[in-house]
Amino acid sequence: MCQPRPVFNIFHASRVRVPYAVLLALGALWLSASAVLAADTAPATGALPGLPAVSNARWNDTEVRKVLHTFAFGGHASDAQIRAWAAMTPQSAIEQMLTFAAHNLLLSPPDRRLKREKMDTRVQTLRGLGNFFASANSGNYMPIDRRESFLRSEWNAAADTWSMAARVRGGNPFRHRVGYWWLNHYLVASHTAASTWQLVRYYDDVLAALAANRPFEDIVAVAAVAAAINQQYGTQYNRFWDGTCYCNEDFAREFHQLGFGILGVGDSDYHEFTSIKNTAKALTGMRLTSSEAPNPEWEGERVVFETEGHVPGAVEIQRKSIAGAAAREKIAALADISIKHPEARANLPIIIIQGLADDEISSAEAQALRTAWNAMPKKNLLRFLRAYAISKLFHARARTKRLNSIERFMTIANRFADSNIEHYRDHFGIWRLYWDEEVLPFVPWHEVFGHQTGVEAASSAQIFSKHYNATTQDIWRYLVQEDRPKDWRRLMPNEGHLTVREAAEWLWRRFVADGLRNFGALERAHMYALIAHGTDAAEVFSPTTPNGGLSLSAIQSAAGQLRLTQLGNMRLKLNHTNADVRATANQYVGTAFAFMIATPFMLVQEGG
Amino acid sequence: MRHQPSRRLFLKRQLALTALAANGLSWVSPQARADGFAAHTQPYFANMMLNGGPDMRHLLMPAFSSIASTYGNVFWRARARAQGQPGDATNDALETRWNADYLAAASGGTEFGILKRCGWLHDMFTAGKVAFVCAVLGDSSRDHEQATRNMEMGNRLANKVTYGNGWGGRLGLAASSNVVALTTTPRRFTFGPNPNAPDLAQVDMSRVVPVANAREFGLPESPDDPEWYHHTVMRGLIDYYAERRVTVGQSSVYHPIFEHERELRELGVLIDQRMAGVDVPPALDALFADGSIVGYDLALQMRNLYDALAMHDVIGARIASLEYNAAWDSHDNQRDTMEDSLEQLFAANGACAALWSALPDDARGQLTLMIGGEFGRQLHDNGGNGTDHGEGTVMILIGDQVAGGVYGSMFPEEELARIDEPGADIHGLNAIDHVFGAVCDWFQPASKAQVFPDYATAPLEEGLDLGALLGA
Repeated sequence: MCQPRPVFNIFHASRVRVPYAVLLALGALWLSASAVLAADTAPATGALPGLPAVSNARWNDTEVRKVLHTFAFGGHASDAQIRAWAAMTPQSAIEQMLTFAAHNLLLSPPDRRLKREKMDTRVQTLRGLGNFFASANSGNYMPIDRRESFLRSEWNAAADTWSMAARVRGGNPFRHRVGYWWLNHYLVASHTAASTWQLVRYYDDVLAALAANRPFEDIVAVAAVAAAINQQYGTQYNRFWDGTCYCNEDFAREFHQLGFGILGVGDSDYHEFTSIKNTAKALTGMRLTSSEAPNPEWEGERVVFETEGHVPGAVEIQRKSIAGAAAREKIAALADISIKHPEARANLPIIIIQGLADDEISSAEAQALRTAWNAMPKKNLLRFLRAYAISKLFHARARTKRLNSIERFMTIANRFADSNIEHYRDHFGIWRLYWDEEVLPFVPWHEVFGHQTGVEAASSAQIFSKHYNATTQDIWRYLVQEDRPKDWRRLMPNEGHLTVREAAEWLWRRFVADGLRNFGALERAHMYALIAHGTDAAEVFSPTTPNGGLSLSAIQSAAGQLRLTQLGNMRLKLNHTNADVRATANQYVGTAFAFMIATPFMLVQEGG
Repeated sequence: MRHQPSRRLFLKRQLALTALAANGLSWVSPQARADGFAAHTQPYFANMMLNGGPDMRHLLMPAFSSIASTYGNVFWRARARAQGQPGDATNDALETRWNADYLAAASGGTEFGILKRCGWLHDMFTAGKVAFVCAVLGDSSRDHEQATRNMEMGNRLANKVTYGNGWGGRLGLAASSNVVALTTTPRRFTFGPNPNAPDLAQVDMSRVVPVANAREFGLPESPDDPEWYHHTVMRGLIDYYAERRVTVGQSSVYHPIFEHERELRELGVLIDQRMAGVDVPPALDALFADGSIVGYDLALQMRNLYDALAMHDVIGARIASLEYNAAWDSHDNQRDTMEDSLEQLFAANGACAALWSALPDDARGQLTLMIGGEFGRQLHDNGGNGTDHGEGTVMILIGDQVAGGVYGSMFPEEELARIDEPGADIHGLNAIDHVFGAVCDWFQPASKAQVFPDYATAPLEEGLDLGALLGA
């Protein structure tokens, strides 16, 4: 990797005397700017071997929705936009769907009803959004009593800001879905260790590097020396003096293991006693400081890389000589080496896809991912994800992604809300996620080993019961918004001029996104009954014995099929002239929605 | 607070029993006595995982010696910083720390100290009810994730991508016992083998009973005549799940979620009824109170274990899985980060003491609690006043049926020659096959070979007999 020349060397060479404070300031500017200006980039487009794309014929609305559900928490694209993407080739569509730009107005068009908000022009960093949501800006529709929680001095500001960033229309939910994965599952920094300022800075730096198309190893190097990581692992206290490393080797180990999937298999003694030990030496001489945080030593969001207290000269790691004046240079050089390590080549693509999209990767699938990943001379995460998202692998029936609590909440919220106001006024009750399910962004269940996984959520009867209870007992948050019924016409096609069948299928496609694969007779019967009459299916199909339940065989009988057809052909009254009738019709749709998201099909996604 | 079971609850219970029996779960035979407990006449095993590789040497230090070159001096010097002393601490300073903060103990000629903040553990050891099994070998990778998985699978030699069943699940199969998962998400320890293919790579969850909170278990019922929308939806979902469940095959990715609903609904009736008759003992209630030294998660685990012991007949489980996530991965400031967590477990006002004091005699008499982590630490402390990953660790077994004492080499002299080598760690000498295997044979005679089929080639210190570890 090209090493940028520090500015201060130019001044020394010209013998111009510059005040030390100016040099420091210029150095600071360089430190921040060089993150983007001086770096390599890697192309974000292009097919990859091992990941052949699905055919144009196969690429349809359902495939588009699956990509959006997996990689963008559902996104905010309209039905028309989804159809437009489905009509394109997958290769063309994916370049529009998944970008790391601050805004993706096709994926997330702004909320035009909030005229002053102009989210499509607002800074989309966590820092920028936090400032905005906490401000008295006339475009800020956040209720006044909630604004304080976005100040970085507040304990949950990072989580609150992120949860808005990933949901508000006018931003880019894909970028925040990846940002969530990076900080909560991949190279984790936990709020139990790192300050809000540190988390926000770390998050924003990673996303900036992703948006700049930096090679993956560069981004790992940026992350590895972030203040949040320093604070998480105590690395800022590591010092090398007089031939002795006063270090803990915690992150020295995890840099290899978590960052690159390198365990030293088959070379364990060298890995343990040379690579890890010397990586600890390379991670010396860092000190935290701050631009904003009140306590630089333990809250500071910036890192100063000093040569004093840093191991002099090169160190041997992975049988290479790793040089660099300070920790930052050495770690950048090490990352360049590590990305080529056989274990990294084998494990990184699996780590990435397992964290984002597939719980059960077979050995053949793993090989395909490795082929694709290693075909890139410079690893580009966006290119890899795009290729994967349109691949036969992603869209194969064998792929299974169980939603963790955060993924489930964000996807439902994104597909349900028709205005940012619903998020600002917390109609979805994110407190249930935080306090009932005990899942907070940036407070991972397993500390540095990551947050609750989808597998854990799916195997937990308790998490299931929390979601089930929230969906049923707290159903009113789906029916009423600010004392008015939710108006489903704002989301539905044809402004709600639909039959019951069309509405039920639209709901299922929008939220479950399985192409109606699992939308069988029982699902239809229950949802038709709720949409048509606001009552359960037993009462509709067996009005004389409603407590006897409704069996599948009863639905499949001739009488049952006739009743099902009759129900399905009924028309919604969302456009009735009587406001009370409209309100009731909307609430009926809301009950069907609640029923649907309490089924197992909302909690797991299959590829095909 | 006691509740009188209503007729409606009685009828639901009968229906639930019928449903469970129809699903082949004939082990449910509730038999509560006046205190709400079912009698305990067979061994009960509870396994608590401490995630992070706890440094058991910090809990159990060698007796300090001022004589240079002895173990009691060299090791204390190597651990001075982890003990909160300067790296060049004097003998006097180290001895002061030893005298002030460790309670002397001895076993079979080995003199050591138990952290004073863990006074209950010391008392139980003195009473002969605690065994420290030393130099335990579970995994050599020093990788948290792999080592934890291998420890729970009971498979020392598994690689990074092996995801098999747990030794607790295998023991459950051997002993015809379910395994109750008292954690939010069931740990791999609880995963059973596929009874049709009992190799380590197959997983079957049918014997796992997830009880993350016994006092908030079941799903709410809908009134017979729904008036509100949520009642309508609830009634519909009850019908739906009951009908749809039978159409979903066991291999379906949705099957486990249907099973959650079934267990919560069917078992919930029985659990709720039993729990209505089981008061929370004051000692366990106090763990949740302001001023308790025990955090909520650990307090909940202990109350859950108490409840699981009370209703073991309802859930058919004599094996329990717990975890205690705390600051065990003590790379820096070990004394500050780790001792609070140890105190929460082992102090006189800690979690274990509360449980022990609350249990009826028969339950306490049959319970063995094993506590340990996935690996040990390095011999020498590091520059951050902590310790780094190693291999050999200590398993702590507590119970009336434990033959108390120290098993295995607690402080091998050979460590002194290596103690200053970079990365030198506590060696694992006694494979989990034998250590956990001893638990298996106590729990279910002759089950060790079934649960640990490769034990014959697993390392064990010469002369160490773990056969007498349990069954006192």
